[in-house]
Amino acid sequence: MSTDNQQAQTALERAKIPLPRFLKKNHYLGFLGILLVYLLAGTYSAYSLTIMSTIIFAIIGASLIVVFGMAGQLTLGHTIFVAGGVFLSANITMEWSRGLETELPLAFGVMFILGLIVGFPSLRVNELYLALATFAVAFVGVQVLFEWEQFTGGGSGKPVGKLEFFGREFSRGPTLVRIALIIMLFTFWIVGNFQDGRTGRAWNALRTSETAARASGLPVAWLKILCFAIGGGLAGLGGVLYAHTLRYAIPENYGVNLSIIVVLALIIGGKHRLMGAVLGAVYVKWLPELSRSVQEYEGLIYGGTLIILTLIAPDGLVGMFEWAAERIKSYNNSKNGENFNSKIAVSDISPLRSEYLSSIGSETTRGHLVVKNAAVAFGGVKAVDDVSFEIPAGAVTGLIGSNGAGKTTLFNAITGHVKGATGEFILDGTSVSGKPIHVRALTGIGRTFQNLNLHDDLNVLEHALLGLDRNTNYSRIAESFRLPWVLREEKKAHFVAAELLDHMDLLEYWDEKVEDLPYGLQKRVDVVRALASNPGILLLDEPAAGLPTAEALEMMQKVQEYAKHISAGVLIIEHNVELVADVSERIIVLDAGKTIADGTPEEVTRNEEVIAAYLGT
Amino acid sequence: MVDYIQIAWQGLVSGFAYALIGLALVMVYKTARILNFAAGTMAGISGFLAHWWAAENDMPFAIAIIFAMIMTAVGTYVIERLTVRPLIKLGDFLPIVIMTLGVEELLANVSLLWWGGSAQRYRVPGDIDRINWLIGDFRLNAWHVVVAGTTFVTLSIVGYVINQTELGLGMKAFAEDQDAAKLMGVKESTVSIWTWVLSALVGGVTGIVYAPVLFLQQDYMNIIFIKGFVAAILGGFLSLSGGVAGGLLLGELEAFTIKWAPREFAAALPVVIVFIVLLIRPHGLFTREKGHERV
Amino acid sequence: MKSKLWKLLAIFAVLGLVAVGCGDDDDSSSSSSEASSSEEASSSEAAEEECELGRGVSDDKILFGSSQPMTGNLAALGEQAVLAMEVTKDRINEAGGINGRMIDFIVQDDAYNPEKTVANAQYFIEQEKVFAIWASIGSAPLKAALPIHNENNTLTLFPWAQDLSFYDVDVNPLFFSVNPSAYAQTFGFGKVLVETYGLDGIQVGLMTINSVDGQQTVDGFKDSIGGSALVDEQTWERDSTTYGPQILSFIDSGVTDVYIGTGDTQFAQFLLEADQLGLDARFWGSTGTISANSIELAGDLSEGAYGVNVISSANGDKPGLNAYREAMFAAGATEAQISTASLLAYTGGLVLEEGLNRAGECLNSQTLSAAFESITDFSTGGIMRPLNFSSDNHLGNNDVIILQVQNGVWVEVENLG
Repeated sequence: MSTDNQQAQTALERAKIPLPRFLKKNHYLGFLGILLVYLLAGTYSAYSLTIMSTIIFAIIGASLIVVFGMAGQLTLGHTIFVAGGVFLSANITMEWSRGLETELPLAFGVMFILGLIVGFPSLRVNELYLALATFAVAFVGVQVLFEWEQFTGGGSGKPVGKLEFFGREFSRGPTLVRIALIIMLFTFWIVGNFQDGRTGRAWNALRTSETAARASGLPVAWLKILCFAIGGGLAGLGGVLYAHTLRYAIPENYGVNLSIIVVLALIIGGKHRLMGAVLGAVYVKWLPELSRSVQEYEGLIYGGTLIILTLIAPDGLVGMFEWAAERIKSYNNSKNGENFNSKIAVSDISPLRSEYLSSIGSETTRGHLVVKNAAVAFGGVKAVDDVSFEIPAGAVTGLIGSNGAGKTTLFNAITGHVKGATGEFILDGTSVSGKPIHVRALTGIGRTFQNLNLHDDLNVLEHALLGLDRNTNYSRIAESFRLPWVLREEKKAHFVAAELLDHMDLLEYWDEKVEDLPYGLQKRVDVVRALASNPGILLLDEPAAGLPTAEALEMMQKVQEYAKHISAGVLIIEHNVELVADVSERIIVLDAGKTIADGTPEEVTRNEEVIAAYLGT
Repeated sequence: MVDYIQIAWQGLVSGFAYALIGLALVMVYKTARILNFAAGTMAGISGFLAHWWAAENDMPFAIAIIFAMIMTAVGTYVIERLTVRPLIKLGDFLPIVIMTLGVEELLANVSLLWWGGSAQRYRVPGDIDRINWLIGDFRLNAWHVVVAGTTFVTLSIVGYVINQTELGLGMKAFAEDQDAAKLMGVKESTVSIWTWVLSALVGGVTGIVYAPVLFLQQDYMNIIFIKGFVAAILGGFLSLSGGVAGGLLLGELEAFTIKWAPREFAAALPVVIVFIVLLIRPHGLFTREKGHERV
Repeated sequence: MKSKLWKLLAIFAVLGLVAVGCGDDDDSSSSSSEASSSEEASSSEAAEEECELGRGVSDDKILFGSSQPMTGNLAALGEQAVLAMEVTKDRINEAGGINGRMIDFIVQDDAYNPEKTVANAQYFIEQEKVFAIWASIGSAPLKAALPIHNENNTLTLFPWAQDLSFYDVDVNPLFFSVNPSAYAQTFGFGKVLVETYGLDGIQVGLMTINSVDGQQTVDGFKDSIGGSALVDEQTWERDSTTYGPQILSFIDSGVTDVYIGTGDTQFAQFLLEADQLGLDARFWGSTGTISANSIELAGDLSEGAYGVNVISSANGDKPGLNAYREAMFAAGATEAQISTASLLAYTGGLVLEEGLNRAGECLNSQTLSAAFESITDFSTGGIMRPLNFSSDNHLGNNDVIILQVQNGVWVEVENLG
């Protein structure tokens, strides 16, 4: 591979990062599978009920992927959405004599709104407690169904009317299976689109680290509520089908048990993949069908497999298959002596010249930060005590001080990570005082963390894309339908991310999960994520800690280079004074929460107070 | 007046069951951050075992109970070692929750296959569950006195274990801060397993004393489990005394809503109250929110 | 280039999908309506010319399906019903079958879960191709499955299910039963109170489940005697662990008679708590729900409690009952399996046999239905009052018999104390 050739290629091409496209390999496989069932639906009418329940469970599973698989909110109350769809369907068909054209949108809409309400407590409790709370919701939900006789018919239930679409009546059996397949296709399409888009990425980020997601400027609260709303709406669609399958809506069907079974089904199948929803549904619905002769042992088989699967395959059946497939692939690779990563040569040209990166450069210099009378107190201790300073736009500034001088606390006060901070913080003329973390991030404050705060389970590229989230312009509605401009924006984001990774020498690791990387590279991923958000000012909290000086210096230079390119300012906390002096134009020194010096590196290093307080020791 | 005392007493008798199961749940949650969904079924099996030893193996009542408790302890030990222990090192709560669901499913089916589905009477010596005393206008059932006594004794023992023994101190240390506890040299695996056993024994006692009240049936403890769960939520799930108080409160709520609320709402009212508590104070009535931030 | 091709293919696939879907809908709906109209035509012709045998009927066999709770808390009921069905099957087959056809049946477990009952109904009809559904247990499960039976022109015969809606012959033309609704039982209970006591000093409390089913129980009583004697209505919930507050309310209202609209553990628990709290009243219930096991659980407390039902006590001394017990014991029944559940299934079997005989050679849903409707004044040897069916009455008899728990078993009583 010659250098010329490399120049001609973008970082994306060199790393062979697949671009988002309208249809993927998975889609074809999915279509094929669904088409097969669709065409054969009439042939196996004897099993049409089991096929129907499988499809319904797959739809409910897909809706749970949103809430639980992606956003990581363990809900044991998901049945209330299914039940909602079921009883809406019963009422619409019987009382209003309307068909699917009313049932489906209404079930989605009403359950979407119910999701907004149910999602609300998730803001206030941790994830384990959420499992408790939603379990209680399931319990309450079924009580409400029993009591609300007008809507549900109470304990004896309510019949479900005809299967109609705009007044046209359909026979059940194979036709219902086909309608269900189309709804399943729709559900999977939506969920799959979210998986590939920015919302799915944000949910994944939320699941893996809420703190980091906040710092990346993600609207965590809205994301949480939204996952319940979308998951609820989709589960409502499953409910409509459930109603038409059983033709009789009866509250006792939708109790705590069903809630648990749908979660278990998804976990057995694999909670991160749509295929997992299908496999889980097949497992729970076909096991009883196939074990009709040993009915009394059904529960035993069920509990037993669950225990064994939890022990040996935490990612479910899909996880098992993927693990096996990976084994085979890596075996083949090692046989051929071919390592995918070794194909990428580290580029020796300046990537900033690349047309994709130059497109995001900013005209005006940013990063004018004013800090006025900042103060943070923990109990009686003043961690930051009336600190004021001003950093001009585009400057690289160092922030030094001994341990406990209040440097990180000052960062936290600026970014909003500490409660009870007083003082005023103004970035490029916008005051961010008192604003929530993600709003400050959106205003242009980017940061890295002293203790790495990365998203385990996500790869390097995804971290860069997460950083790019606020510069990705498409609505969530557009995303759910994979509209053309979503793809255009996604492609752009991928280009920029790849170039940025290339610039920071991380390109060859793009699909490694961050927890598998060495510490130094993890640090860089953290920086990349912050840089990708195109911040006005970048707050780096000990980015070089634990790195050899040469490597640290190289990284700092790259950061500086990139910051200059996007016309951003940088504020660095660093213990290595030489390093700070090397890269900074100006240094601020903190001691016991107060500013004791502020000037050029030369001035500061000569300042006696500084030497006494810090440098001397 | 007597009327109200009578209602309050009936509410207490139900409340004791919710309180004990609530306590058993909170104990495991607090120390090991695990929700044990199998708690109800395990408690029910203890009741069945006591009945089985006494009625089918002609063992004296008290000895049968001791045998049942020993089997409960050993069974719990084995279950914890085989299913929960291998998952603890993963550091993720989710697989463990799922595991307890699997254990629940398995145990429920084992007990169904063993004892069948129909209800059985758990006989106590002298049929004292059918003896009633009249104190003025207040009526007192002899077995209810036993239930109350057992509850107090159980609570006292649990209180003693937690406050006075090494195990209790370890449990407390873990509940406070898992990392710090490890640094202090408290062995996680020891604390975890004894917490499980203690919790199962509390559940087992509940299962046995309520067997004459509710009759033995394959799922007779399930409803107590769910209500104990609700009680623990009312109490905040992080406070042992909160769990107990939540249980008693729920018992009283149920008793008095039937008395006062219109017929249509009576049944739903306790549940609605719990729901409102969840919305307004997701961390329960007796826990400060701060306790959860650390988790 | 290649990806474009894929894209095109996929688009065609989707279009094809939709097209096939629409096309098939047309076909299936039109063909099914044709099929049903031709069926009607042929069945009316069949009477004159050729006979079309029902599904599941061959020259030497008639196959039935039965959905039962074989696991879970109601498993004992399922086992009792199945045993009585075995007895019926052996009796018919040992006598050479009916018109040379042996009868047989398949049982599937539904654990009293309506969803499974629906799955079973589909399984019976589509996979096993049974002729009719026989002696299934449970109101809620049957409610869910009944529309499927009806749509597939399948008879629902002698189930143990009590919802009022089942007996509407316009909705469920193929439903036949000997077991009345909960409504009918409290209606009968009210009539008994009037006839026996003239309502002198009677103050009734009703204890029912808080649901539509419970409401039907209440309505039956109100419709029979009006509201005057009813002084207290209390409900219980599925998740109740105590009935104390309700019982205290009954004591406050000074009731003399309490109708307990439930069975099994709840009945025993109610009596236990009533005794604890000192409720002094006559207790009533349906012998359909209060099983031998309920009585055993309650022990002495149930002694003297009254039961109403259209069916007599399984332990009674009537020719029909003696024959029932003899056959059951011969088939290996235990004491506990001599119960209302097995007696009802057995009695249904007697009527089924009569109906099959009357239907003759040409057996299908319509001919058997007509045969049942022609049965009048059918004697069951004292198990029930004589049964009468007609085209607008598919329930054999609504007259209740009074029973009482004496020495731990239900005994038919003529005079109330």
